[in-house]
Amino acid sequence: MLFNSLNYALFLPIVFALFWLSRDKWRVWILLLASYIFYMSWKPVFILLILGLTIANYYLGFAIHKSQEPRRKKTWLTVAIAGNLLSLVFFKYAYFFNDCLSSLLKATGGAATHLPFDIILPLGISFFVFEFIHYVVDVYRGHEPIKSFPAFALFASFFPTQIAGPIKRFQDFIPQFLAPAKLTVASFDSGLSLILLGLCKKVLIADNLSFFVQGGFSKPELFSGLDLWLFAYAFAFQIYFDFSGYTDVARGSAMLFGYKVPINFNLPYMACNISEFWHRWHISLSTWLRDYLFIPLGGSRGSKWLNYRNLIITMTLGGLWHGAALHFLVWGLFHGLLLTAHKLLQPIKETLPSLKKAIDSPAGRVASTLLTFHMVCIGWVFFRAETNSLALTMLARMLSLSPVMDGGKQLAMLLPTINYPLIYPTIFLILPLLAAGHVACYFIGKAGLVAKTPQLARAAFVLSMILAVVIFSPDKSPRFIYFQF
Amino acid sequence: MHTSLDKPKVEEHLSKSEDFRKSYVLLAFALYILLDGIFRLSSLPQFHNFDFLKFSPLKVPHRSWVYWNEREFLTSPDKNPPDTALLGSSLMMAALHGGDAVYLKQPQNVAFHHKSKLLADLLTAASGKPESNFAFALGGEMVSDACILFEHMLKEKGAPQRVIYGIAPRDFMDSALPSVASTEIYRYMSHVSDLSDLEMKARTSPSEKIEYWLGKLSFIAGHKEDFIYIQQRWAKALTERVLPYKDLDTVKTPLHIRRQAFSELPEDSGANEVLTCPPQVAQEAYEDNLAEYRYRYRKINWKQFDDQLSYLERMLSRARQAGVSVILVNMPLTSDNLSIMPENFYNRYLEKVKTLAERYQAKVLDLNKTQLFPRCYFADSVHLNMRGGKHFFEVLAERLFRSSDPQTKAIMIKRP
Repeated sequence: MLFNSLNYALFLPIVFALFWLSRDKWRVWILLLASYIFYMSWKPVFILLILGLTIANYYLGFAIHKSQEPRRKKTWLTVAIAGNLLSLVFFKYAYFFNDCLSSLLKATGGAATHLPFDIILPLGISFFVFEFIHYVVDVYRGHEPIKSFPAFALFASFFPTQIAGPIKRFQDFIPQFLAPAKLTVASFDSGLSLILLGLCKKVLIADNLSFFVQGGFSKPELFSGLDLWLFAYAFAFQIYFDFSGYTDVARGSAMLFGYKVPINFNLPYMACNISEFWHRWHISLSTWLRDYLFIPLGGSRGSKWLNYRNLIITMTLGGLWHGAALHFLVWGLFHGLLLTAHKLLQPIKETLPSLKKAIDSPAGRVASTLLTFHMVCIGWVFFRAETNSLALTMLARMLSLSPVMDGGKQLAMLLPTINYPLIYPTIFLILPLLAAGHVACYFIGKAGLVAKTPQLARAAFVLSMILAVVIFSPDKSPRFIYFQF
Repeated sequence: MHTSLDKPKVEEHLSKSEDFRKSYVLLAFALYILLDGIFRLSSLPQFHNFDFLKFSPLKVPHRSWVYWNEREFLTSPDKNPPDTALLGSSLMMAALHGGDAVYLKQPQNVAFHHKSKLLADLLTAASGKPESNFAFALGGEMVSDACILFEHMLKEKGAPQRVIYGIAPRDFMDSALPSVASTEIYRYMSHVSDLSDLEMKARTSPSEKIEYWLGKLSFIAGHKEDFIYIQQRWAKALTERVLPYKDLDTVKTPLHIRRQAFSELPEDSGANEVLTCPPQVAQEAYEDNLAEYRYRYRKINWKQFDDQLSYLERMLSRARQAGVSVILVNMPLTSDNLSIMPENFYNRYLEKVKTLAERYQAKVLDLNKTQLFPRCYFADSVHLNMRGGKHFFEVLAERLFRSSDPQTKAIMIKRP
């Protein structure tokens, strides 16, 4: 069931009404049942997977907690992590590893291998597996396990965050389930406003940009370097509005039941450096990677080279988490290298006061933000292109600003000659508007203007979002990008 | 003894009732209902002077084939019905454009070419009287679509003398179409024509039915296409004003981008986009499209078949009431295509069509004969190529005028 579908528009109010009309003790059960129905609406058989993992992790949590002996405790933890990772690897990476093995065998004169069965990737597996790992690791680290089975089952299957996060922490979430819920005007208003905002981001911006982006990424050789930069910018905004739109709907839906889900985005393209970018982009994933991969690898302890190694491994695996393909791995590696470069350059900046002053000045901050945005866009090329070779073709053209031949004429840009579909000519207005909007949101947030906005102005804004959703929701909107991960 | 001060704070908080009259979201929904009501009122004929939205079926965001067709039909200065109305799917459409391209030796612009000059000349030559026609032959046209187009024509311009309707098994059962209401022709015609007696029957899934009722309930939801048109006009006007673009309605786009747009929005075509040019080579290319048809025929849906058959019956019945003669032409297909149809499908289709035709005194003309249309006349497993299109109309005219059948003769005699 997609958030941007009529089914969800009917499902959510029904669950909302049942939840608030029932007694407190039934509410967790209602949400659990709704979450399983939500999951089964795609492929009913996969309920067995999420249910199986839930039961296993629930009992493994107790086993870890009750073990007195550290070795035994560790063994249970290893079993839990291995079990979770194996299910993820089997469903998500079996084809990838098989392809890698086949390529290796072919290169050494052998024959390609084939999997004897078809594997369908269950929706949301990357997210709920990470939540289970977080749970067992934190129980191992000394947290109390969750006693209530329905609350634990709901933690992993909670329908607003089931498919694409944000990745929750049980310490924040479970107390909310166990406390008596109360519907407030504030949570009702914020919840519905967030849902509408998320849908607007999806149907108004991300879906339209996706149409444009597909044109450039499918045949990059036909476009000039400057054209390809525009496609990369467009993808940067597409993925941001798609994923943050999804998160808004998820957070808004949760709020309608009185639960708070962590934010995942905080104007990421306003980051002045790559480290700050990762504090603003997919926050629940980056903090998960920090806590359950980077720190266990050694984190910032040890020599600086070990620190860099840990950073690169964490980001590369984080890249591979997005999809079982080499271009995701390269995307992660690229970000690992950028973060390492940032760490390497930090001491130089500190030792040169004039450089530090220049970078910290308003102009320096603007330049850093622009530089960070462009580096992120280069990374997005690896993320979006279907193969690394296609990404490299694109980047070679982008970085050399190579022109394009059109009817015997050499053009610096081909895009201005395309007038249909309408997204092509209007992209020259849309992209500056999106960038300006991003900057404006930053300053509005900083000045705290949202809290000062009068009721009527808020109502007018919500009305405009209702109109946009009613009018522009297509009959068949594409899936959210992060659903595939 | 406990006092109210002993009550836990959380309970105190819970006991407070929330005042939802302060909700700005509920206020926004109330404003939406108000706005919707204003739009609805302004569209009523009684408030004609306040109709600031000025919606029109000819102002649509996506210019599909049916849009171009109806645009020409509705805006034509000729208020009389054509002598012959041609109906059919892309099989008839391909013959229409290809036939005229070869006959006239010039390219035919698909957006504006809705009259067969070849058929008009053939019928005029055979009857000795000037003959006019108008083609409502459109890609993907199901029988239900043909029925709607025919009824709309009767309502707008009256009864033609005859209808030549090119049919094929796909028009009765297509796995690619979930319901009658899911075709672009249906969607467009529901804006142009009153289909209220069909609306619920035409929708099969609950979500389609809910969407329909939501459209009825909310004026804005029911007119979303019209609002999208307004938004597009504004976007175009702004782009033309701010950026150096002159004419955004004439498509100037590289082919691969255009192809992508077609795959996303198959029902959208500019006025200058699709030309059928006379063939330059002796043997026109043949494309294997059996995979597509395997998909279309993949699961036989007798319910859909019977449903479509009921639309044929409705059309034949209306035609009979209006005094319109109907000729059902079984369109030529390749043996390859026939071989991938589900078992008994073709025979049952032909048998049912013949039974209905007999009941309503329509004529069935079976042109699906390999000796008449060998493979060299086909562009793929179902569509005739350009020379095939010309040949089709020549065979059709010949069969209609040289027939010894008194019923056919009567159909072809032009009324005074």
